[in-house]
Amino acid sequence: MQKKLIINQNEITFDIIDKSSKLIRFSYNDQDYEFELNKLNGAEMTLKNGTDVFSTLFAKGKKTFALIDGKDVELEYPSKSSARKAQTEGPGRMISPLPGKVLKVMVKQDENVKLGQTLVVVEAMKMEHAIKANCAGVIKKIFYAEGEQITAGVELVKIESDTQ
Amino acid sequence: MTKQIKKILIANRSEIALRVIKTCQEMGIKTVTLYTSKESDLPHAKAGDESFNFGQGSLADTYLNQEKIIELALKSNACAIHPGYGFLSENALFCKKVKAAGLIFIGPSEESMQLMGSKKNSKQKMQEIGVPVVPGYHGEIQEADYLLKEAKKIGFPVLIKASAGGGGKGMRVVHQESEFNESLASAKREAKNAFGDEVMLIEKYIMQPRHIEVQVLSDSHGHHLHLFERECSIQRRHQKIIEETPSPALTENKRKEMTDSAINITKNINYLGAGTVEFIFDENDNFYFLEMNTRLQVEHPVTEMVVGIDLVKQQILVAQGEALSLSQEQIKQTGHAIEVRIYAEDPDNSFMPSTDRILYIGQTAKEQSRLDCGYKDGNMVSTDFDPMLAKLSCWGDDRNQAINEVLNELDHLPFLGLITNRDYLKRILKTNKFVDGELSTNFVNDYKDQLAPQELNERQVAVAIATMMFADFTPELNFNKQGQNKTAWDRLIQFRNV
Repeated sequence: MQKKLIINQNEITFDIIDKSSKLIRFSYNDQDYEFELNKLNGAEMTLKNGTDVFSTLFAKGKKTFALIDGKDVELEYPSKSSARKAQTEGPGRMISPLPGKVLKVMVKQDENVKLGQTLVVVEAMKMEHAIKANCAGVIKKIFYAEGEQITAGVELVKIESDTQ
Repeated sequence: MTKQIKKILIANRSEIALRVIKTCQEMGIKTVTLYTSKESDLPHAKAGDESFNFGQGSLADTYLNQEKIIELALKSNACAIHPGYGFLSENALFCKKVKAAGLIFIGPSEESMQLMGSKKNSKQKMQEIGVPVVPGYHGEIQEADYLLKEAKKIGFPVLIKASAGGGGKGMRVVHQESEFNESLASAKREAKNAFGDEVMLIEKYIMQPRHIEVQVLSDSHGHHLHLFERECSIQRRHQKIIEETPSPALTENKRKEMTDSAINITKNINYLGAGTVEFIFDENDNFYFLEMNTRLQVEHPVTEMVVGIDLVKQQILVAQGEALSLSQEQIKQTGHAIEVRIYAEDPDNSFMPSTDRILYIGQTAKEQSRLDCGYKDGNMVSTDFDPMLAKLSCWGDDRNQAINEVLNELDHLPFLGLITNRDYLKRILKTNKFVDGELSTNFVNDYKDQLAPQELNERQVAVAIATMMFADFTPELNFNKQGQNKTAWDRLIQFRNV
């Protein structure tokens, strides 16, 4: 999955191969990387890449700030709302009505789904919310993985409607 | 005649208010703090035993509101007012009013403040008592050929300066006689436009000036001491960034000359309390009186670290009318201390002030490192006040060790959440010239090229990507109105270290 990230005002592109709360694999600038989360304690994050261990400090506000190798790093995703504007409204776009955590992703890429089928379960305010398909079709894109935090209004799943 | 001070109202804010409270707590003295509505969640606001909210308003209504401050001191039964630095600390009128209200002003007399508050009068006094001042002409005769004669007497290069001036307007550096008349005419035109006044002063221009100041301490029993010097040459636009003690420029003899000079001043003006005499030091090891600050200085921590004396405590004891219990011989300097000021500004973008919420300050790694900070995690930084966030001071057996301690600690104090000069400070400390102690007040400008930021390398970018991805699984930091961290930390994960 291709992703863009703005690092210290510079936009870079990379490809996520695998993403979970304990292991991230991605490709950047023609190089594959694998990072394991060793420790997460408040602002301290310790990562492992092979035999190399990196201790970073981070804080997540509207943007994410980090101290990496003694350097100040400011991180943010290119504005999601501007990306969405390029797409048409309507069936096939599954928007999260509230901020929370993706508890369970029930479908896979290219899977056929029926109208009303539960696609994603979001946990918010100690309750579970099932996000259901608003049309029948094929899962084209899943934007978030289990465990990820989301804000209200983000697109969770894209379905290519059968009627298109 | 001594009067025990039982309660102090601190007429200041942020880190200096907290600093004064610390000593008061150790001495068993109660404190009263002041704050404005917008500062309600800053650490100093309610740190005193009692606190008062000024409400909203400009500085004139709040920290510069002399009547209100005195009223609050009387209302809270404080016996004394500590003015901190800046604000009303060198305001002779305020000092007078405080005393008239029956309160103790922790600082010198209004006469000292008035004398040292006037550039003209203080320089005149220095000449009277034999303290060197920057050679110059400040007279009334303004004819071009007379000024040129004075300039030649002083010796080129000279600085032509508008008497009414400031901010660099109406100022010209003249390197040789042939340039003098044209520069004078040009400076006069500029001064007339900017200040409506063409009166010019001529001063010796010092090419690579170093700012070296002496900490002084006097009591009401005729004891006038010094606590050695500090060098504060690393400045930007006359704002200090890095200060240290001892100064790498001074030999023992020169140190004695300068500290003797400072004591000569305090003796002659009958000074009381803590103060700082600032000198300009030139490339030929000559020093000249610049000005005297009749208050506690921002950078006092480095002095405290090398002499082991609490300056605020001494200020309070002196204000109580006690005699200083230390003798000059007992005051010794050990090791080296460096202080760096962390500012909310972006040095890589024209030093634009940054305003945002501080998400994570960090913590010093060593107990003996000192962080004087007026903020805590979750506080919003605005442009209402000084952009200084904190002072970090570190001690070492020698200068190199002190530099390394500061560099190490700066990486433990990321001040995440807004842009600061943290990395810029590291760049300065790492330059060869700084390490060699070759400083001047032109430093940051002269070595601009060496102080440019470094891009992240590929490995660092990869770590940044991974950090962001893992951060996606954590909640956004949430601070409530009281500035408390209300983040849902139920996602705190601790793995066994592999």
